[in-house]
Amino acid sequence: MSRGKAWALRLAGIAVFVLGWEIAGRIFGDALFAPFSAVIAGFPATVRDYHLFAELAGSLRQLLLGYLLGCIVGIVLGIMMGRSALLDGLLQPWVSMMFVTSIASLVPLFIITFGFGLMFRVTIVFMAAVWYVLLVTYHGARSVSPDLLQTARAFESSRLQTFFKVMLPALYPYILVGMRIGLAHAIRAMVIAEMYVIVGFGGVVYNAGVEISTVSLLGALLTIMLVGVALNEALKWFAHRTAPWYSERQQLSN
Amino acid sequence: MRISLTRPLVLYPVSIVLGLGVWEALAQVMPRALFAPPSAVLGRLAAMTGDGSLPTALLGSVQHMLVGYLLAALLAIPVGIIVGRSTAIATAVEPILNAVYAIPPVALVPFFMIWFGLYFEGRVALVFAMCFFEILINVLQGVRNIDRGLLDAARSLDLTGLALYRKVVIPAASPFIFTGLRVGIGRAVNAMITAELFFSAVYLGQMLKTSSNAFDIASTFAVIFVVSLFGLACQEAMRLAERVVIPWHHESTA
Amino acid sequence: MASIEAHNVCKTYPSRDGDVVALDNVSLKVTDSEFVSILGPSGCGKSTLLRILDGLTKADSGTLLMDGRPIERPTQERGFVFQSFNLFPWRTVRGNIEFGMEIKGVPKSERHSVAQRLVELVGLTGFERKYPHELSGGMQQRVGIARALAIDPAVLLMDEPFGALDAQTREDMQDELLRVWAAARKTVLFVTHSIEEAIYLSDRVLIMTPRPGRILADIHVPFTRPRSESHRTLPEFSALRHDIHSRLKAVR
Repeated sequence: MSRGKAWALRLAGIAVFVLGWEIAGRIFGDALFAPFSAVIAGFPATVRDYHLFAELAGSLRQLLLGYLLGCIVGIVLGIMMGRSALLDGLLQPWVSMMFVTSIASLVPLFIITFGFGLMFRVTIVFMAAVWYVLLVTYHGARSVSPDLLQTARAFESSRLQTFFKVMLPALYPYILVGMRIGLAHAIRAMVIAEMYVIVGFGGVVYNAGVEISTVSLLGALLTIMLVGVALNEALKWFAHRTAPWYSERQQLSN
Repeated sequence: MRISLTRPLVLYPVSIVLGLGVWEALAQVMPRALFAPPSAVLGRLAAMTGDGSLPTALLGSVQHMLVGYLLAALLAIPVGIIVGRSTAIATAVEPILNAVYAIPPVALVPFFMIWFGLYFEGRVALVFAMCFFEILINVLQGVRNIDRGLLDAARSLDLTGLALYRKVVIPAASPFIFTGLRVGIGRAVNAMITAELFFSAVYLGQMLKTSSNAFDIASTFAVIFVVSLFGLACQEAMRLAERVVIPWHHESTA
Repeated sequence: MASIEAHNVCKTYPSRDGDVVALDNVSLKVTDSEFVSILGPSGCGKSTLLRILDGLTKADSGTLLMDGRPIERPTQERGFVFQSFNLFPWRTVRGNIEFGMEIKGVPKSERHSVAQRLVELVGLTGFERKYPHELSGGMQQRVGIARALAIDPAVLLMDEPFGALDAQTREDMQDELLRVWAAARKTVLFVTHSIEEAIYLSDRVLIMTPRPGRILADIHVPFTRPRSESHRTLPEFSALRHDIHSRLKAVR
């Protein structure tokens, strides 16, 4: 299929979606499912009344700390576990257990332990993101081609040189994928945490949900939808630019 | 025959014992209100199972999980197959699918509350929403990636219509379908708890809230542990089901 | 230009069905600017021998010398070209070629000029900034050869370098290699399973047989240089090929 045709189809799909939204909205009314036109028309008011973008920016900034910590720990541990069978065996049961723990179930506990503030949000986001970053980095570290490592050795590369000149570049695309998946989970965790304590962007969604009209609520949802897609695409683009040799086809799904 | 010390079979139990030991030791140092030793957690676990409160809660929670999950699977699989077979429709649907998938499901809670209320139906709706897209995306991917060679071979044998689906499309896509079902049930278990924390608190979610509010960390850990274990068990059950239904499929990656 | 030699090298691999003797008292000597092929069927230990000579693998017993000095580990005195290219996918053509020099801390400007010279030598001018995934198999192997030459090794070890290429590209690359070798005049030890390739390229052909790996014969190739397509059609070429072929067959 040509690129032009693909884009035309995608646009058509979006158009059908918007049209469907509009029609359904007209049928169900503002209280249940405000039509697309109403949501757009009411959007400036939504932004103003709820400080939508300010809250969103604030939430993302708060998320950043937990997320970056998660990335650093995930990358370091992932590499260490990937290259050391001993560490792998030692940590694997605990990592696997953490991996299947639902973030929502941790929320009541973390509130009691850390309160409602920054510490709470940082920890929740950290716990959501770190395991995914770790997992992908781990797989990358395990699958660094032994041929390439041997090639480096043939050129008299020292262990340190091999680590920086071969291992890290080979890991780079995996790290990017892990960070992208980790970000999606970090955002999810942030919204869960914020909706529970009614602060930040999550709080906006909660409060908008209490309103009689769904205009603001749908406006908020539309915003998070677009932001999520934009961030994901931005990271994908960044990965493609800085690691053009890597094709994601064989890797984990979104 | 030397058994390497780094064999998982040896290391995993060692790791678990070591970890529990460290945890127990740490818990002696840190205040009970903030940190519970594994001995206390196990104690509470035994007590809650013994008096029936935990099994009852789990049974209650499982209800909306199963209903939501089954509805999602029953809808997502056929939709995924039909949409996936048409490259045009799949391309058109792609941007919308990615966008809706980017919405953190918990953000839909206010919306579902308006539509389905605070109780059972609302919880089912959330579980449905969290699983549906996960399963759909996997099924779509599976159907879209069916080896062209298989389809050509089938058509050269004059296989069309329903028979083509039954004999070629569905079998070929089934590994992806099962992956979707497996990841989906993991999400369903997460959704199960999220629903109980954000709609009106019942069953396990209620237990989490009550024990955290009472600073009973040991009980909270116990519930979290049970939920994680349950999620793991469900996913393993799916893996088993896959091995039974499609024994010919070999998983090449973890 | 240097000499490389092996004396009574043995290597055994343990396996489920008992030990496999990959190399059984193998000896050879290659001297200044010789082009020597090691020819044999798959699994006869020729790649193992090459890796041992480079220092990538350790022999169980025997002596390995380069210019009379023992070979203990891989050094940049020997260059290695791999069958599967093994180019670093995140480095451009130029980046790959410069790799060895970077390891040794060669200053940037010198690296660039050496790399540029080699890019021209192997016929890849204009492709300096391309990534391996953008190149064909033949082009990738040219990069592999350039990368090995960039460290100015005394000896070049090549492990079935054209094995992954199609027949046409293979013949082109053989001519390319001879042209590059004529310009660089290294001592070359070339592993292959193709009789034609061995005869076409080399001064001498060492025939190896498998299980246990042994050198069956050391055959001198009587043709003049430079070699060309016309050599392939000489009756002597055919005769030599036939001779080697029957020797190999007799051992099966």
